[in-house]
Amino acid sequence: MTRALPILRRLGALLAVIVLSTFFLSCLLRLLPTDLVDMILSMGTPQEKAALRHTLYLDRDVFTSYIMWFSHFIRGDMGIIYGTGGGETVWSHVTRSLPISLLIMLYTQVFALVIAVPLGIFTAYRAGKKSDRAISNTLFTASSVPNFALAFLLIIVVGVKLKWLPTLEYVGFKENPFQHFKHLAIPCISLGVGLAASYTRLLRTDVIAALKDDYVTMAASKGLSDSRILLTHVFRPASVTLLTAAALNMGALIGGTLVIETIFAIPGFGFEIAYALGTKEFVALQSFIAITAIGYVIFNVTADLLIGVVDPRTRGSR
Amino acid sequence: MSDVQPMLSLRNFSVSFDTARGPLYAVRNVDIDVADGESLGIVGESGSGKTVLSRGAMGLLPKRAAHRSGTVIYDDHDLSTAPRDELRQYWGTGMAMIFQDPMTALNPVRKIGSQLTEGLRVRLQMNKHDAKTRGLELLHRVRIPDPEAVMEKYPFQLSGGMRQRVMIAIALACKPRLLFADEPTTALDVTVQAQVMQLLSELRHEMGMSMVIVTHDLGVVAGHTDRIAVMYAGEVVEIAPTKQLFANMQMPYTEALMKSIPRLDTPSGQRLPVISGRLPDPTQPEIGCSFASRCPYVTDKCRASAPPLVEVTPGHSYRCWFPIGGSR
Repeated sequence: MTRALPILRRLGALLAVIVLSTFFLSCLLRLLPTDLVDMILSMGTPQEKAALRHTLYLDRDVFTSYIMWFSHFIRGDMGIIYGTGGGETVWSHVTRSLPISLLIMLYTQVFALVIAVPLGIFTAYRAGKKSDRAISNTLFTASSVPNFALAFLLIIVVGVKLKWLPTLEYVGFKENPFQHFKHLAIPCISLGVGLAASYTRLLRTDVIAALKDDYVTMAASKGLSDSRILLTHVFRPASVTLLTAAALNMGALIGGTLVIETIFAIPGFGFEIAYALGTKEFVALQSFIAITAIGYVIFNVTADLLIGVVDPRTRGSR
Repeated sequence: MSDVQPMLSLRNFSVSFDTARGPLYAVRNVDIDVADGESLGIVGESGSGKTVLSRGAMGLLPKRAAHRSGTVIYDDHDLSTAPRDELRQYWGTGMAMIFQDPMTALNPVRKIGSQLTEGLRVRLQMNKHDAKTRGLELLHRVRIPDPEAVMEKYPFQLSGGMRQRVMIAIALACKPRLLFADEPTTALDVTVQAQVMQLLSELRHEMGMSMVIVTHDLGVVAGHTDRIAVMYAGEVVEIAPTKQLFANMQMPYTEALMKSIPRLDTPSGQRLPVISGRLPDPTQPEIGCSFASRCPYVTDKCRASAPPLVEVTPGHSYRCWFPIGGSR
């Protein structure tokens, strides 16, 4: 009971955030400079326009139309893509593209963390020495290259010149696992290098701070080896900031995938958002952005729960 | 005591740190022996170098920041030149340390049980079950109620006194022969202080180990030590068997420390004597006696040249040109 209560409170707060953010989003649709119905049905008859207005709940007041929209939204009824002549639903686009982007984000995070954790601990342990300076400066340089620039660089060198990796399109994991990873390698590396650099710096700072703590001297006085102290005594308390950053970066990664998916022609969620923006599919866009907001909230709650696991002092107080 | 080989022997031991204002001498030319089974108190005010002395003797100071010189002989092994890997073999099983603040010295994110049994498993290669049994015994021995439950708790869930008992249990887990207790009671309530000191004394006799108690409070060590070394500005200024020190102190600094302990028979409302002034700048070399600027009996000779540490009666040495007893 005592353990479940904070989680329930968290879930309540989560719901409030989702409702508020999607409500403001639906208000934005009404604030568009041109009428949404006129935009979609520019040559329609007044009757057709009135019918569409009714379908989009735009003939109601703000609150009613929001509640109508939200109740359909959470059931997966998000309307249709009007540019296709009404043949495809928004939901079908979401189910097709969202898993691809989630995979890209997951691989990117794993790639960044696999690099950052050992390097962060190592550079902190050797702080101020040559090896630390070499690694830290290299990462600093790498992190200042924008991810799309890195993507083009990798396409030219690894893809075109060396022909090691494909540079276009997406292959599903179920179709061909090997090709799947091969196709996602350059996109995920382009997205992940900057992240890895910032994670390394975060972890390095926290590990250096933790190494000065009394409990590290205490652990040393038990006669434990340095590597054991670093892994069992220092890494866990020092990883709290890293976890928070990783969760917050999930939000930034949504923006990152938008660019990267466009470059590599990967039909992911970012690609869909970019497409909806370009073709003024505002009905679809409303649902896409609502899903992004929900995802952002979920990642943050997950991070908070993980931090509770890592650092027991924070349980219940967050 | 002096004819047997001491367990720990410091000779001409100094520790300095690099600072922006040049080297800072935290410990200067200390000679101290700790005999087998002996309890030695190291007393001095904050900044007198007592903590650096104990950590430095054990080798726990960061190598890059702290420069050590002189020799540290532990059980016929010269620790002053030993690499860290060799030192590590003595830590926990040979020498162990209790830290001042049990809140910061216990890892905040790991359960008491894992911190307690870690040394047993890594250093003594005990299996999980044996280590847990031994851990429970230790918690029971340091009088922790309900050891089973405490094993599953985190440090922040325990009271200060409990945490300090846990730390004692951790330090003693691998049966060290020499225990450094660095201000073991400073972070505790007065009522708990006495209990913890009592417990440490009991455990020392039970396990036949030597103990070095570092404290700023002469009252804490009075009943629990065989000898006391008084430190001032990084130097040992007086060292004597406990009884002799209390009965016949020679160095004015020892006297000043003693006078600043509140006593039951002082009339209430009376101000406690304080030692005016402060410690000399440890980055500047001293010409005269380091206590000269604060000593009530100071003379021109004290300011001009530093008194050596002289053994006047067997086991009783002090640094003073004009000792209180006037025996020199």
